[in-house]
Amino acid sequence: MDSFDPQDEVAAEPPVPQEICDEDVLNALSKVAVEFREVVLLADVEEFSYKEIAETLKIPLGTVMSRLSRGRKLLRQELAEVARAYGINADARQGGTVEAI
Amino acid sequence: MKTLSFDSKRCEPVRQNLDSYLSNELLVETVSEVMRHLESCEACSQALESRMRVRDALQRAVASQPVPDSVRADVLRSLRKSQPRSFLHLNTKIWAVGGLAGIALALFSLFGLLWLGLHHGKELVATILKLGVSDHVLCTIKGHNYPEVANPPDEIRKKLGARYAPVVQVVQERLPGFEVLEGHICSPQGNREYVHLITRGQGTIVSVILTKRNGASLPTVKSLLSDESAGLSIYQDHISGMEIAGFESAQYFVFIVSDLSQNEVRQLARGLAPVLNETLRSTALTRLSPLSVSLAVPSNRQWRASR
Repeated sequence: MDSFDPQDEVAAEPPVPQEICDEDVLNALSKVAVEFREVVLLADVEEFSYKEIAETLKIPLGTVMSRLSRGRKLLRQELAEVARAYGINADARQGGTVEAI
Repeated sequence: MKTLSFDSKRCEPVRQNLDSYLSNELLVETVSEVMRHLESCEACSQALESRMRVRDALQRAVASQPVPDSVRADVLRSLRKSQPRSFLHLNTKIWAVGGLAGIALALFSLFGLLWLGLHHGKELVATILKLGVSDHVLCTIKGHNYPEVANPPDEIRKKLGARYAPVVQVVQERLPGFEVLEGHICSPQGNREYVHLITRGQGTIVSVILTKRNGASLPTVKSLLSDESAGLSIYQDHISGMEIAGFESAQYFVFIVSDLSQNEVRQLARGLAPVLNETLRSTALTRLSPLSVSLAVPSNRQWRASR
């Protein structure tokens, strides 16, 4: 089971822009700790299965799942910082210019 | 104003599964439950949509990053060496390069190494194992080159010649419950020879095939191994409807091919590998013609752990 943060509800999630440029994504990614980042990359970019990632990184399957969940969340949070840098706030989110992640 | 309603009782179980749903790692039953909920819950539906958007953006961003030439050269050099510890060694190198190129580049170098290593290794394993499946299908299945009643062992040994005769006894002893029906030296299309023993047991036919490596070698990437037996690495695949297990022994690739289950074929390989390895090591087998391993990816290979 993936780890689940009770705070991870839609109303509490920070917004990110609909369109994100590559540079912003890479900057956000570079701020995610390596242990989470490598799992996110192997799962989301290379689309390796959990089992393949576990074997490649020599970590348990459950650790893959928790790191992936945590890594994705950290990436969303970093991208939300980008949104804030763009001047996007909660009101703007409700206006439909951005969506919660 | 748009308001998203979050029902913790209904949404929480779905949120727990959202990452695995996104990675296509849920059981079919759970997928159905998640999908049913998503159809009726706008909040969770938007949460999933946003996650997918971030993932797509990540894929695009990473794809836009070229792997530095120096790193690519390091990776290819390491792969050619095919040393089991080369990954860790190269990871260190990659981070060193990344220190110069920046944190982001280092990350993508690491990622590229893993990607290249695994894919190269997988293709190489599949290419080599496909030789055994091809030999089994052509000679055993389509050619049906074995009798209903087993040929006498002496006759089989005579056909194989003094150099290969010991293999008959090893196969007979190490595959309990299997009877050696036939043994011969095949030469498909006249360009590669292999020793072929055809056995029967557990209601089916199992081929044991030896073909000379001639310098080719299975990769030593740990994650690609299926099993080990007495220090011998065993690789497995499911190709053209057949299960195959293969290992290296002295100058040979040895294949066990059948329509038995993956686990059954693995057990046969485990039982056979150590003794056959010793037999081949102690026998100077030099009669087989050079093996030319094409690195072309087989078109019909199927990976058990398909993504």
